[in-house]
Amino acid sequence: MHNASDQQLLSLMHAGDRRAFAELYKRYRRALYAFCVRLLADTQAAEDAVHETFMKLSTGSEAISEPSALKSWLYTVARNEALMTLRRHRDGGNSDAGSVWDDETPLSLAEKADVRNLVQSALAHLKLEYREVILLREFEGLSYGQIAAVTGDSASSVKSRLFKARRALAEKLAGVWNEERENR
Amino acid sequence: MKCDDMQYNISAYLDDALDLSSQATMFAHLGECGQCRLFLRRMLDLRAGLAAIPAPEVPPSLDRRVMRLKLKRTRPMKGARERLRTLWSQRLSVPLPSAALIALALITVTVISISLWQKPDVVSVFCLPAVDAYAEQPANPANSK
Repeated sequence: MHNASDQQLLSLMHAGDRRAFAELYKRYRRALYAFCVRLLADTQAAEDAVHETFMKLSTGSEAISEPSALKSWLYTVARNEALMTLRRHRDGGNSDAGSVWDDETPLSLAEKADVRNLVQSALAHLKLEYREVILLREFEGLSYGQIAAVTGDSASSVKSRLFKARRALAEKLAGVWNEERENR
Repeated sequence: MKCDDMQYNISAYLDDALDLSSQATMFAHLGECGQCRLFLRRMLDLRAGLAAIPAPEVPPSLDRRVMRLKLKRTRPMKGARERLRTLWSQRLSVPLPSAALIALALITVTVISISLWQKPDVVSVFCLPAVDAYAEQPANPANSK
């Protein structure tokens, strides 16, 4: 079963094969959960989003127009579920369209413990539209086209947002890298 | 090319999304521009920093919840030939021959009716004796007595 392609597993699943569904879950659970945790910074909300995603797969997988695009479909559903959770928890929010950061107050990076936490924290403070492209590209390895399919944007918009997000993160963390180099 | 455009290309290069000619221009620029070299180094640091973030462990409660989900059995997705076969077996295979049989019967009845109507000898054989018998009857049976 673990050698079967997504397309084969999806066909088996349509015929009612639970093992195929379990294999698809096993295949994508880690990546989808990590994506949702990093997007939401909330483990319970991430768990709910992933659960909803697989519920949709179990009941409405015939909506997947192209079985080879299952990965993009799963990320699209997980992202939409995560966004719905965010909307429920947040009313209004920051409307500063020119900024890539999600809050007005800059991070007090000096107070953070180590480099890994600093990077994680800086990532968590990116605005959602910038954070999601970084997550999908750097952690999930999706191409510009796949990211565009998930977010509903054009590939050129994804490319541009990735550049802005990286530049903002690199500027925010520049001091950290310099300090780390000096300590070596 | 401005440094801002070059840095945009550096970001695309990290994603393997920069064509060879633009790569050549980028590397030539990097040989001359310290600011863009610093940008590239920061990009690589960032990538290493992101890669060092561990993936969160999937909680067992999520595994349990997903494994309890009921699977809805659906029809497999079909190709054009399969859809045609289904259309034939479910919609056309019974009604179409029945309709053809009814049409054939109607045509036969019509053809027979027309041919009977148009053949005078057939009309004479079956109809004229009766007409003759009627004609030979007296106009008023009471007067004939």
